[in-house]
Amino acid sequence: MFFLRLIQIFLGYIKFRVDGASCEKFLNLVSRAGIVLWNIRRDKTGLYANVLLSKYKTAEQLAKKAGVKLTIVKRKGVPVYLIKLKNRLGFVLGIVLFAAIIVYFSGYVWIIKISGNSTVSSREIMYALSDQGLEPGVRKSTFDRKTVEQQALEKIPELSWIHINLSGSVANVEVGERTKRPELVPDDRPCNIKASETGQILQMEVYEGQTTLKVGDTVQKDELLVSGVIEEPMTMLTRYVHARAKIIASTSRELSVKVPFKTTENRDTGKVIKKYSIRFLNVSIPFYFGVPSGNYRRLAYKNPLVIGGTQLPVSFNTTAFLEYKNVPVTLNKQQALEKAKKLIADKERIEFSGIKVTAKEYEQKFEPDGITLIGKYKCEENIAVSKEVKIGETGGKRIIRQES
Amino acid sequence: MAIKAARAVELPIDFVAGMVHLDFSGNREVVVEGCRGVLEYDENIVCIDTGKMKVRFLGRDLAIRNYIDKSITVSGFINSVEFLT
Repeated sequence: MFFLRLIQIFLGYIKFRVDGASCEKFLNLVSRAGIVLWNIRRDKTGLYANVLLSKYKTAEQLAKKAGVKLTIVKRKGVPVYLIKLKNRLGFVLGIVLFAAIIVYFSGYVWIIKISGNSTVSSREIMYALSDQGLEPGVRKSTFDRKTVEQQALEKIPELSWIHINLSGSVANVEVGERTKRPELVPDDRPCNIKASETGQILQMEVYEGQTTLKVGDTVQKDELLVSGVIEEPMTMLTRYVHARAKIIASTSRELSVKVPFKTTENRDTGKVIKKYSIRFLNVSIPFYFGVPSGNYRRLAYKNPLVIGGTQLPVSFNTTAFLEYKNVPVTLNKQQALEKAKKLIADKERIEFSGIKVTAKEYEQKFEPDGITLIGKYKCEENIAVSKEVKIGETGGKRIIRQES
Repeated sequence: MAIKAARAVELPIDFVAGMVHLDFSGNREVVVEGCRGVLEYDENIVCIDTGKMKVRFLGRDLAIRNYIDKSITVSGFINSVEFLT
């Protein structure tokens, strides 16, 4: 019944009144003509009925035959409403345009959300995706999801998997990071343990292999610490094992940096020119023409539009052009020393990552053109490094080649 | 004859003998199939021509819900049904 009602509304119908003596005759004529009437109700002088919009004209002709008069009471349904809208074309066009815009823009990727990354930055992943054609503002049909996933994985080896899920206009990118394996000699290959640095052994833990060294011994760089080639004195047979050990030694390291007194550096003159633009999807609409000529460094500030915690692909960008001049600078001894200390601290951070520094001292050497700062360090570190033993046969003799 | 034959083979007699078929939903609604025309229609009386006989429904607030070709649905408060041959 509900669907019937729906069809009646969709096709449109007319509620009309029949006046006259032979209403029954009219009903019979209409029914024989195949026209459906419904909701037929009688009152004192006539009756009411409903008929489809398209059948009313035929019903009027039959009414003349039956000698009754038809009067329209009400018109209802979608076609009736559409006829009224003829006078409001702008409104109709507006709705159509709105629907078309929604449909068109829903075919674009508006937002890319990245999750699952901790060491690899979202920016790096975005760049990799962008290189493969996935970025806010692209049409969904212009890229192949599987290809983008594959290519992005190749670009970022730190990721073990990447999955792109398109949900409406949002691309949800989930990634899994690879756990970096240390470079090891495979367990089934024989290897020796050699010293990675010169030093004095403070602590030894030999898990596999044979050693003749003890705590307190001094070793040179590349010296054999633990051997993976074990000769059995009783049987005179040689056994090859994958030597394993942890050897903590006291080592000495040195770093140096040189800072010249005369140098040049870029200094801001204080002049700043700001330019503004709006970015929507892939389109940037600048409110300026051209860029300033001369020595300027550019700083860009992006203010994305955020609604309800969701960042939209619309942003208000400010580009600041800061003028600079290349000026010769002469540092005094103190200034040069400060700069040298900063540089050496940066180097220490990189070189001694994972190494315990127990003592350090600095030596300053003042030269006519600059200062050299030398740092001498006492460290405690694990100097055990695995080196594969290659076993080959030549003329009946077994040759053992130890990889350096 | 037709009715006897229909009963013998257990077919519905209205189907075989071309009789009118009435389907009542209590006393509130009746669907009449085999209707040839409406003879009288009033709030209290609906009289239908079915060919071999006339069927008259008496009651109050009687309305014709649908009237399609040979099928008519009468609704309202039906007090009695008369078969006039």
